[in-house]
Amino acid sequence: MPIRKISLTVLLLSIVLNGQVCAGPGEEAQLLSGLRERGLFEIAEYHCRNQLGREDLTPRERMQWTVQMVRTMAQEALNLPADQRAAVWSRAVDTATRYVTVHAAQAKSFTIPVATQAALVLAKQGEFLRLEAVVARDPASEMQGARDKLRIAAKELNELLQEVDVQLTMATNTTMDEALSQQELISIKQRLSFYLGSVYRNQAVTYPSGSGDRVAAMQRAISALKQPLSQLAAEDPLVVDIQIGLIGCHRELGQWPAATGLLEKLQKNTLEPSLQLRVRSEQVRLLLAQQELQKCTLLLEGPRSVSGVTSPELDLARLDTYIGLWQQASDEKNEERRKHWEQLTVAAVAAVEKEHGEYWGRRAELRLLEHAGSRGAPSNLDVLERTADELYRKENFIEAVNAYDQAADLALAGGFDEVALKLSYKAALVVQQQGDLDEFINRLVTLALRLRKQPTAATIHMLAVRNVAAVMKDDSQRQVQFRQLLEEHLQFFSKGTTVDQARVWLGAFVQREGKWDEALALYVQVASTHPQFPDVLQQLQLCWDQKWATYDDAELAQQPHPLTPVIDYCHSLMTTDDGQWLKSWDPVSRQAALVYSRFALRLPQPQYDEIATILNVAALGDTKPDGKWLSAANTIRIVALVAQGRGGQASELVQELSESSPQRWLEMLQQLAAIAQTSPANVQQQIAQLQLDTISELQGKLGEVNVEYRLQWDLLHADASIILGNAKSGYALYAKIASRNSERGDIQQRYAEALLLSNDEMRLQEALVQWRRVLVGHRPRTDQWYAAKFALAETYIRLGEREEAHQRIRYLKATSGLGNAAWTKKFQELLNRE
Amino acid sequence: MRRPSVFHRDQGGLEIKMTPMIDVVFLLLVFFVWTASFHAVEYLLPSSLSQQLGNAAVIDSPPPEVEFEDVIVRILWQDDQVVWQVNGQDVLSLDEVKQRLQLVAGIKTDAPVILHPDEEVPVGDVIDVYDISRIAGFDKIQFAIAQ
Amino acid sequence: MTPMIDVVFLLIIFFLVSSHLARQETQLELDLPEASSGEQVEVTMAPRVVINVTEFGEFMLAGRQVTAEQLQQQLGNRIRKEGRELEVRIRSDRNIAFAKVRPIMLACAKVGIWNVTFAVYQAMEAPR
Repeated sequence: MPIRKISLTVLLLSIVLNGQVCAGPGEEAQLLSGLRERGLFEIAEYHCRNQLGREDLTPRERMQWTVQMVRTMAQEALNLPADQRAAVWSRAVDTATRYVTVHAAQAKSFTIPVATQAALVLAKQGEFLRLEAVVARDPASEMQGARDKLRIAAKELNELLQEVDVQLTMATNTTMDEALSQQELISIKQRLSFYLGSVYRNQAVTYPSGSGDRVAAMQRAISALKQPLSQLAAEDPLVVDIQIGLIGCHRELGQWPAATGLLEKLQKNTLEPSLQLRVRSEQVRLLLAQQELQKCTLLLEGPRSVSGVTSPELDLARLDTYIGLWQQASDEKNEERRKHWEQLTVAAVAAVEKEHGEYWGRRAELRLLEHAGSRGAPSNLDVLERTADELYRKENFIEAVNAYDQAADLALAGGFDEVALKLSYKAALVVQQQGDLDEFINRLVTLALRLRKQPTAATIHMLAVRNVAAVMKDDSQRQVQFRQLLEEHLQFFSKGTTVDQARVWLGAFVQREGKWDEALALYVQVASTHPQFPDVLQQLQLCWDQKWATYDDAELAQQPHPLTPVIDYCHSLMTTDDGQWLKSWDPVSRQAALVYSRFALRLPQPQYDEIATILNVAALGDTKPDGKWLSAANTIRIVALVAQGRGGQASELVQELSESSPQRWLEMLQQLAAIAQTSPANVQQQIAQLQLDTISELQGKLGEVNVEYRLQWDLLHADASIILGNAKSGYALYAKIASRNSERGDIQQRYAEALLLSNDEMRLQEALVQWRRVLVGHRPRTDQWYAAKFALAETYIRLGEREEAHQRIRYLKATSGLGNAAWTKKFQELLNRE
Repeated sequence: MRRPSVFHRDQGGLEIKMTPMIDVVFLLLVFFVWTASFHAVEYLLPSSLSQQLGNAAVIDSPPPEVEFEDVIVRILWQDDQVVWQVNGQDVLSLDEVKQRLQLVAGIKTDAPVILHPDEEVPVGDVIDVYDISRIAGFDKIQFAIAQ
Repeated sequence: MTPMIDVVFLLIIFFLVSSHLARQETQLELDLPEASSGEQVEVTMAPRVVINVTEFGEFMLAGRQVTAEQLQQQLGNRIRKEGRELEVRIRSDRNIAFAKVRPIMLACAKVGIWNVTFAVYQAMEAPR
């Protein structure tokens, strides 16, 4: 109700009037109030500070300037956005308190005006809290906070009243520089009553309408306001203020006759322009309270300004009238009129801010928000949204977020989910801009989950996930949060690219922990159209490779073969819905064909023909396959041919390949070696033979290659020789490579492993030395270190020195422990071996 | 008693004057007692510092000893208390340290043992561990003093 | 007879006292650590340097307090003079931090002395 605003205005004006009694030196007061009106608070404050810094300040002047400064700060605070307000208010209170504590001893009576200002600041804070509580998320607690502040203010004012009485007994009749005169004290006392009444009135309004608390508090206010009336002369400006306050109180209580009577009495006097306007605004309010909208409109058609002075009160009253009419029109379901009044209201709000400054603008906005927020109609939501946008533009971020939240809650309650989503999202964006990342992420997650039926909810949730991903690099807590969010995403959303993305990320996480099955379960669900699908296939292959390593022979002999799932999966990627091979192969399906073939080769009875056919088909199609794929596919084809015994055809194929670049040769040889590792023995031999043949043929054509290439080439040569049984040349080559690359740990390790393949005693001795080298090169208690220890123990046993091996194993057990469960098992096995 | 005359001198009978000798012996005794130190007997704990500081390059041809890694006994100072760590595993009492060391010594007595005390550990505790290592039977006990 | 015995007696006293005082200079009262595997002190002709480390962490060499650098210098001089059999005996209070003793060992290692011994009391039993 507009009445609350009246009390505040009364409070404000009273501060102004207070200044006039104990005002700063004459014209200065005018200057300062003028500066304040124009919003030039800093200059006003600077001026006051300057004056206070003067050497020749009398105590009275000091008091007056302090009063001015506190007032300036208080008013500055009113015009700031919420986040900056508190600081300025506390500064004002601090200034006043400092004055009081410093001067309490000498100039006791002077502390009264300053303390009054401090109490008024508190009252103003309470007032503001009350006004803002309407649009807050938790109105009840905000209102309680307002009540607390007002209570403290009332208490202080009461104490000041008592203090004044004490001072009155000691004061004299003359105006002095060190103390207030009797006259001044009396006038202050009257003012204090007035302020007290205003505070009580504010308190009353914090209680719910119609409650006993409200009535009681209002009565208290009326009696406090009336008290000085008997002592004041009729021309005293304070009388008008008191009467306006009384009108407001009566109006609150619904006592129309009393209010109207007072009003008519006031109008009989001649008042200055601003007061006239205020009286008129009171009239309008009274009529509004009585629901006489037509009469209000009539009244408002009168002039807006008198002698060039406008009144924010009147403009607010006008706004209230418009709102009332808007209400009426929407009740009557008159769409056209409603729109008309709505536009007028919005325009009025903007006008108030423009004309009277941010404080009044905010109050107008609050009125609008309160009204619009009470009904969830879409048009109201629109108004709310626009207001919130305005607030954002004015950089009142806290108010903007509150307004967005209010609108969103309203939209949700009314069932307008899309709008609610949009508004909540905007609120989240504002929070992000303020830099509060945690709040931003929380908001996004809450809103996505609450409105998860909306199409964009999944994207919003993923946005939150991405934000966490951006900051999780070194922060393990964030990584945990990331993981939780991913799991949540998969739990609540079931389709879409975001879900696939979540699967990919979560799969990577799980894979890193070594949980292959979980990772595979996630990966197979990813749709093949996902942009990162080739990576997914790659990871899938890695997981399957790891799984393959854990199978022992018994499991591999089972039917169905453990590799069936992956083979079926790849099949599904390569065939159309009715079971035919794809007509046009894209890189994804070609990749799938490769993966399929690799695993198909590991089956106990590989279908070489089928593999070759598939690869042939995959090579066809609209787009040409890239070189790498081709060489990989050809390698597999070669292996298939070799395994079937068609060595001749295989060599032909190899000849073909020698047409391509040296890079491809190396790739092919490496891939042949990789496949050979998982093939049965005879196939291995044949592959090795093929490798050797190729190497010897292409050796001459190598030309200029870099060192690494040469190295890999030689290593493959040595490996192939050893597999074929040319131990001498193979090992000699290895030794040469190893001695030339003594700082390369990986090469030393490969040499050591290769040495273990032979059964010759000399080689095993060499293996001992080599494994020792590897052991020294690894950090203790790492996996490779344990592997080296194991290899050493095994070599000793193969050399027949069981005691040595046992001693070493037992020593290892006593010092560093036998490692994780897998290694412990292996070492135990060695110990038990005969 | 009749004072022995000077004429009795050339007769037999060597007359030793006992009193001064008893005095001498008595005073000697007193002085020996006085100068005897009531210090307890001191013993020696030999320790050989490593002949070389730092790791020599062993890549070229590592000897078989590399296969037996050092037994590192850390003596830590936590919360004004001594805490031990054998090969990275926390050990709570000196007894346990002794057991572990004996276990290792049972396998190989010339295993290299390295004691690495923290700065604040009292010398007494360090010597305790050193003592235990010697009792366990190790030949090569070294202090980790290289920076 | 008596005066000769007196003279002998006085000489004995004189030598006893002087050796006692001399010993005082090189063997400070210290609370040595206890150990049960200590070896008996052998009386050898091997050259020996005794370094006392008091409970305040000061190094006393030949009755004088030295710093770590001076200690290293002097040890260096001695090893050059005496050769490899130089024995360094460390007598340290058992409650000082090891950090005080470490510089001595470091200095010995730097100048090439390998025969470092700790002086201990015999423990009644093996350390628990």
